[in-house]
Amino acid sequence: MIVQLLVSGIAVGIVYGLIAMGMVLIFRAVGIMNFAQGDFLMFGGYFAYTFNQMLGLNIVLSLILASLCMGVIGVIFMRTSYWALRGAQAKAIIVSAMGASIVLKEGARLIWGSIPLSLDKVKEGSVTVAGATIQWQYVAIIGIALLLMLLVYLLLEKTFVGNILQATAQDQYMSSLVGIPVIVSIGLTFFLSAALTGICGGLLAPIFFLSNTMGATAGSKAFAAIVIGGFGSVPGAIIGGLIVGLVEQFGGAYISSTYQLVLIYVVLIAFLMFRPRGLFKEKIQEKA
Amino acid sequence: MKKRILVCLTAAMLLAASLTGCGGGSSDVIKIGLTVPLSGDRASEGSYASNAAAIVEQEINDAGGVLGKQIKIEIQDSLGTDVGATNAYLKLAADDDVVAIIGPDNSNDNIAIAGSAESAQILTTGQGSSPTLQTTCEESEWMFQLRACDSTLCAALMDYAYNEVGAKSFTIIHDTETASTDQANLFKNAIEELGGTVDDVISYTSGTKDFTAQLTQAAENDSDALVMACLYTEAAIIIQQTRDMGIDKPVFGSNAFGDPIAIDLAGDAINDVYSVTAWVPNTPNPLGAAFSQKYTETYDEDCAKAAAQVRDHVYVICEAIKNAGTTDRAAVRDAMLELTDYEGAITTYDCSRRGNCGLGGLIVQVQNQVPTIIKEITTG
Repeated sequence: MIVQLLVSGIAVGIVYGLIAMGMVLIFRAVGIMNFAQGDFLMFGGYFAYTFNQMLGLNIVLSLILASLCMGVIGVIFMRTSYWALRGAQAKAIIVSAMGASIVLKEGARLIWGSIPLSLDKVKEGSVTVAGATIQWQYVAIIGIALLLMLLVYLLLEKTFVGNILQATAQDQYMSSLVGIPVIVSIGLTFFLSAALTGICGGLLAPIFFLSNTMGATAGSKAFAAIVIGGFGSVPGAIIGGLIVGLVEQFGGAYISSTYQLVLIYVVLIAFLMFRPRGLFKEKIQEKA
Repeated sequence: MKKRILVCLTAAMLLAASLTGCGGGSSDVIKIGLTVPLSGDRASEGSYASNAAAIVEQEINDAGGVLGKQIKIEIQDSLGTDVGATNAYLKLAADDDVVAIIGPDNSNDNIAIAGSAESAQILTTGQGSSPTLQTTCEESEWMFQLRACDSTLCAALMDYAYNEVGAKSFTIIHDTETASTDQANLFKNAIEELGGTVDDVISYTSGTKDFTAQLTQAAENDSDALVMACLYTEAAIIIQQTRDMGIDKPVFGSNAFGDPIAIDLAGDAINDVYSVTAWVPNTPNPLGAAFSQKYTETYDEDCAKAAAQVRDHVYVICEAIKNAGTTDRAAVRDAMLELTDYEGAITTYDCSRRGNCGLGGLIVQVQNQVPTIIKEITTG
C-alpha cells in the first residue's frame, strides 16, 4: 500500500510541481500570479490529443509538438493578457488572466467538443514493485518531469539565454538599460512556462482523461504548492508540489478519502499560519 | 458622446422589454424547456441530450406537431451544477410560452430545481433516479420523476451479485453527490438484507481524477467484489485505474458503467463490469431500437441514456399536452397525472405515481465494450 501511494503521490506531485514552476517563472518575470496556468495544462493536453489521436503521431513526438504549440500560446497569452496591461494595476492583469482562462476553456470546448477524450500512454501496462502494481505511465511522468526540471535548471543557470531571463526577472528597467530586449525576454519566459505546463496535460490525460475543466483543480493545487514552497522559489514550487501530491495520496488513504482536497488546504493554512514565507523563505507579503 | 450612448442603450432596453412582453403564451409554437449541462465536467451528457432534442423536435413537427402547433425545444446550459441548473430553469420558466421543463440527468440538480418548479408552477420532469428525488417528486405538485427509481434497481443488482455471481463480501466506493450517495446506501442496505458483508464504504468528492488512495484501501479489504456508484466520466476513470492497479475482482456499478459515455472512454478496462441501468443502445424495446438506430445514423455514435431519456420526456410531455387539449400549464400537469401506461423508448411510464414513474430496468454486463442485457427488472 505504501509503495503504491508513494509512487502515485510523487507522480502527481511532480506534475503539480511542474505547473507550479511554470507559475513561478511568470511570477518572477512579471510579479503577477497567472491564474490561467491550469488552462495551459488543459490546452496542452488537447494539443497532444490532436497530434496523437487525430494525426496519428507517436505519443512522445505528440508531447513535444504539443509543448511547442503551448509555448506559442504562452507568447500570445503574454501579448494579449499581460503586455497590453503592463502599466496597469496588478488586479487588472489578474482579471485579464482570468478572462483568458475562460477563453481557453470555452475555446477548447468549441474546438474539441465537450466529450472527455483520451490519448496513448507513453508506455502501456504496469510493473509490480514490492507487491504494488505501478502503471508505467506514472513512472514515465516522474522520469519526464525530472528530465524537464534538469533542462530548465541548465537553461536558467548555465546558458546566456537563462542569464537574460533571470536578469529581466530581477529588474526589467536595468535589463533594458544594458540592452536586453525585455519583451523578448518576458515572451521567452511565458513560452517556457506554457510549454512546461502543456506537456503535463499530455502526460496526465491518459490517466485522468481530457476535459476543458481539467486545469482548474490542478491549477489550484499548484497554487498551494507555491505557497508551501515559498513564493518565487523554483525549488520551492517543486518540493511544494511533491508535498501536495503526497498529502493527497496518504491523507486520502489514511485520514479521509472524501476530504482529500480539504487536507491539502489544511496543510496550506498551516503553512500560512506557522511558516508564511513557505519552505524557501521568501516573504509572501512582499511578493503578493 | 456619453449622453448619446446612454440614450441609445435606454432605447434598446425599452425595445427589448416591449418585444419580450409580446410573448404572452399565445404563440404558434409550443415551447418545451430542457436544462442540460452544455459546459463543465458533464458536458457530454448535454451533447447527447441536445442531439436527441433535435431529432425529436423534427420527428414530432414532421408528424404535424402538437395541437396543430409546432414544438420548439428551448435548451439552457445547467453547467452540470445545482446552481447552474436552477439558473437555467429560472430562465426557461420566465418565458410564458414554455409549457413544461425537462430537468437535467442528475438527481442532485433536479432536487435543486424542485422549489423553483413549485414557485413557477410549471410541469417539470426530472431525469434523476435517486430515492431522494422520488420523495421530492411525490411531495411536489409540479414535478415528476420519469425514471425507475434506484431503490428497486440497486437491490436487483445486489441480488444478482449475491445469488448469481456468488459474491458475499463487498467494498463500496461512491461519489459524494446526492444520487451516488443514495445509490451507495441502497447497495449497502441490499447487501446486508441478503446476508452479505460490507467490508468498507469509501467515498470521494465529485471531480476526483486520481483514485489511487481509494482503490488502495479497497484492495486492502480483499472483498469478493467491488461496488461503485459514480457519474459517467469518473466511472470510466475509476474502472481504468482499478484494472491498471491489477485489481481484477468483479465490479458492480451504477447506471453510468453501462452507458456508451463511460464505455467509450474506459475501453477494454470496462469489460465484464455489471451495472444496472434503464437503457442500452441495443435495447429490445421496438421504440427504443428505432430511436437508437436513428440517433446513430444521424450522429455516428451510440445513443446514450442521456439521449434516450430526452426523447421519452419530450414524447410524454407532448402526450400530456395533447390529452389536455390546451397549453395551460395546470391542465397539462393534470393530464400528465392521467398518463398511466405510456410506452416509451426506454420503458413504460406511470405518471400517476409522480415519483418512480419508469416501470422497468436492466441488469447489464459489458462484453467486448457492448452492454449486454443479463436480466430485465420490473419496478411496477
